[in-house]
Amino acid sequence: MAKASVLLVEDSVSDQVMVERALEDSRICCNLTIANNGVEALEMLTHQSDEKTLPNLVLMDINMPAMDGKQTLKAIRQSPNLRHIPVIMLTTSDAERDVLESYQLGVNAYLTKPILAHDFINKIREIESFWFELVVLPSS
Amino acid sequence: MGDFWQQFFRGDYMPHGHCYLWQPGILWTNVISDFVIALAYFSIPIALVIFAKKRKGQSFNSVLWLFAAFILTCGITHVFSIYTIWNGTYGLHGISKAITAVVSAITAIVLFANLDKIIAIPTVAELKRAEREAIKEKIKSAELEIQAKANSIFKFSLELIPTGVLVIDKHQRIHIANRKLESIFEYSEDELTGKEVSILVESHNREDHRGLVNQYMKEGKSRDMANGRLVWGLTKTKRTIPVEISLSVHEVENETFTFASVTNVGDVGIQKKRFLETSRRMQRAIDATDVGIWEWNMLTNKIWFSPRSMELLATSKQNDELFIDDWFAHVHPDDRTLLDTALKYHLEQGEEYKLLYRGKNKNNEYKWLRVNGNTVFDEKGKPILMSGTLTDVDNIQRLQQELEHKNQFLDAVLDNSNSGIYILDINNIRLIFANKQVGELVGYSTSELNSIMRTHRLTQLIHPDDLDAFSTHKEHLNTNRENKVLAIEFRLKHKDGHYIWCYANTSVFTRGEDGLAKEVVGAIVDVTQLKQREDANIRLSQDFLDTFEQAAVGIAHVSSEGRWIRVNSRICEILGYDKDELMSKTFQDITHPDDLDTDVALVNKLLAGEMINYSMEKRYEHKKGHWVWARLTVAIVERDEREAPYDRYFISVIEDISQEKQLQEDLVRSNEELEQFAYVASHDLKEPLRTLRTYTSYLIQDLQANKVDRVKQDKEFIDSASERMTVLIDDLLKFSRVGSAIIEKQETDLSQVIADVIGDLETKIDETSANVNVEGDIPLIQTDPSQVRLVVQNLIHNALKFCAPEITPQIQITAEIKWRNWLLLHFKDNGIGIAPEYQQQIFGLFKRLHRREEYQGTGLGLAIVNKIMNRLDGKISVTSEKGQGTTFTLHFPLNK
Repeated sequence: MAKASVLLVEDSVSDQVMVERALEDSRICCNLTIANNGVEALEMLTHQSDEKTLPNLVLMDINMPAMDGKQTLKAIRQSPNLRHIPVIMLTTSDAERDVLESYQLGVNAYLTKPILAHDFINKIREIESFWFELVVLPSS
Repeated sequence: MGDFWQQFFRGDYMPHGHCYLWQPGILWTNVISDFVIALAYFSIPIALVIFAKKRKGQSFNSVLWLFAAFILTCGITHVFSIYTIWNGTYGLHGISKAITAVVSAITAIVLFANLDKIIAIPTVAELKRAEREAIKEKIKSAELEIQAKANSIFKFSLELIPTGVLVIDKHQRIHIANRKLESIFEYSEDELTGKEVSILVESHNREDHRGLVNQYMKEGKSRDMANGRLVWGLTKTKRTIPVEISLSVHEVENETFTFASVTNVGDVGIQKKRFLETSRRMQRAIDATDVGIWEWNMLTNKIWFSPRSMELLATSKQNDELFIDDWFAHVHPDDRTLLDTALKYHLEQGEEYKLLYRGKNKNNEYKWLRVNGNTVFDEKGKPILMSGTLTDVDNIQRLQQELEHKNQFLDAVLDNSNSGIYILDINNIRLIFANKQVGELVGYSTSELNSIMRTHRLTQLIHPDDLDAFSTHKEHLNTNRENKVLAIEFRLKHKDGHYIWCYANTSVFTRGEDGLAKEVVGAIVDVTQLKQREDANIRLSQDFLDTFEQAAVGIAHVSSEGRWIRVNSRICEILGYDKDELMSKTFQDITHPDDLDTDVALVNKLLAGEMINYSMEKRYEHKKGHWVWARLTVAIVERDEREAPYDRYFISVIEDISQEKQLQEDLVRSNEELEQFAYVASHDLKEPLRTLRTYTSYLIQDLQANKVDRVKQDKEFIDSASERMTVLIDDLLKFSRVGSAIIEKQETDLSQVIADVIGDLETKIDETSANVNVEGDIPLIQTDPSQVRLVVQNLIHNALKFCAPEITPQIQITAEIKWRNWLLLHFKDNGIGIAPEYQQQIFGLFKRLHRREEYQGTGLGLAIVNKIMNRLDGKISVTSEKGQGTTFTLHFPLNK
């Protein structure tokens, strides 16, 4: 059983580290790939020829230079190849409009930073598709 | 000698008595005789003297005086004779005799000398005869005197007669003519006496006249011949004058005289002459009509009818057989009492005998007749003769009845007319006639009004302010020769004291001889209420105009095609046009293209009746070219078609809402900014805090777990987060200061500002070896230099920052004037450039195109620049291509 792969789209280094640590602490076993912004993320995703190498989950910051999280999410949902990938929004903003827009754009879950291990566990459980594909269940 | 006188006057001679021996008989006979003689001789002179005195003018008085003297002296000698009987004074006796002798001798001489005269003294018989003659003479002269007096009285009375009087003898010579007659014919006094009467007659009529007069004198009494006849007379100066003559014939001392009374009917000039013509025509008309003459001898009751009268009388009798009863017989039975009563009043009370009755004519038809008559009374007041005329007035009567009917009709019309009708003497402003409505108009009864008409001038009832209007009206009437109806409005004082407005239509009723209006007839109505309504309307319309003009909002009347019909000052002020300029445009001309469709659609809805008004906000083009935001409210007004030219139009109310709109826009922008700020700030401000919190908690965990690497990492993140926080707060402060700073524009040298900024950034420029050039001159402009400095600082700082590390920054600053209105300041760099899709975002708050790890920054720099440029009434724009460098352009207004 291959490890689940997770793509983190995040411009802030401190936040990248934060997510790494959270995943680590949650003992969710996965391969984490990082994209510094939406543009990078989409490049990485679209260049994956093999469907199996696509990430099982995308963790996406909203506020990023160049291409922000919402635009990237929109692009993913519009792409036939990528649209099924579950996306969890990770953001500092708990502004209603961001939450609402994100769900409208087809986000699977919404997490407000700072993100700690138990946040992940709770959220990931919510995402069934992600849940079933995930081989290694964390032991609580 | 002395002896002689002594002897002479001696008294002692022998007394004479001795001579008869004192014989008493002789003695006393002598004495008594002498005494009586002396007495007689003394008394006779007295009688003579009295006679002489009393009979003055006596031519022989001297003779009488002499007689008196010699008789007196005789008397004295006789006294001496008595004395000498007893005393012998014969000397003295002698002297007395001597004196007597002398006086007697003189008397005798004088007597003889005057003997002729004395002989001439008539005898008594002669005297008596003379006396009889004298009396006869006296009576004759008295008679003459009386006759002369009578003549003069007659003459005088003739002169008193106001008409000319002419007495003509049978030879047609003028016997008497009074002064009046002479003056009528312009002759001087007595000049006419003895002349032929025909000289007073127009020459071509003379023969006729002569014949007429002859005829008249023979026939005598036929009175209708020359009674009140009007003829042409001839004056001394051969002028023809109209005279009226009446003739009568009388016999005086067996001579027939014709008496004529003559009146000059031409005295008052040409008007009267015309009148005379009219009179003559009338006379002829009367002659032509059935005017008959009758005469009733009241003593015999015989009645005489002229031939014309006869025709009016139904009788078989001849004229000389008629009696008064025959007349009564022809009177209609119903009218007999009338006639009788009238006659009674005439004869008993002297009332005029003049009435109409119906009488049967010779054709046995009843006709209306008019009879009048006059009566001659004797000295006892007994009627003797009655005479008069009888006229067939059947037609006249019918006309009269018609006229009366018409008059009644007219009266009814006048009395029932809605308006007051009056006749006014325009010169004296005095009412001559007024119907009862005129009275009602001013609150007076008819009788009160009549008394006002008699005693007052109407001016007392006219409002003083309207008297001028009356004078003007009078002039108009005078100059208005076609007798057009003219109107006048004036106020009349009501009985109660208040004034009422009257409207009268008047026209000239009569004109004076000068052709000027004299009397005017007018119809008058009370227009007080109308006047009040009219005044109210005028006030209302004035109020409307004032309101329209003075309104604080723009008001316009617009035709259904969009043309301005009427605009007020405010709308012109809002749109910047003169009234005339605006009126020459349509609303479509000056409406913003984006608003036009909406507006026109709404207008069409109004026209279609789908709505009655609408309100919208729209932009109008100001004369100067800019757009003016206005709130337009339009209502449609439908009018009766007769009130063309506009059967319907729009009332548009236009409020200038530019400021409101500006505020609104400002508010929207401000709100948007605020919201954006809040949104972005919540994110960007939370982010460092959240990072701080996260890593401080990790720091504690890591310290406890003794994970040294992670502790180090934790600290770095904490440091950078707090650094970001500090910068962010600084920038936010800057940004908020930009928003609240007071802009102070002044003449600014932008070159100097740029030089100052370059000076400030010297270290950074040196670090990067950057090249900053200002090319060309930059004109002075009105702006706030400290704000511009912030802008320039940001731009140059950005240009230095966003540059590829291997490239030396090149910054080129140039100025350009665009459209005369704008100064453009271009900042061209050779930096990393901005992709087109991000160019609109870069002026937003916290907008960063790069990761913090690549280029530092809070994302507030250009937001600050943009905000400052907006506040300086300018703007900032950008052109760039990725990798090709960027040009930021600052736009400064030149005219502000």
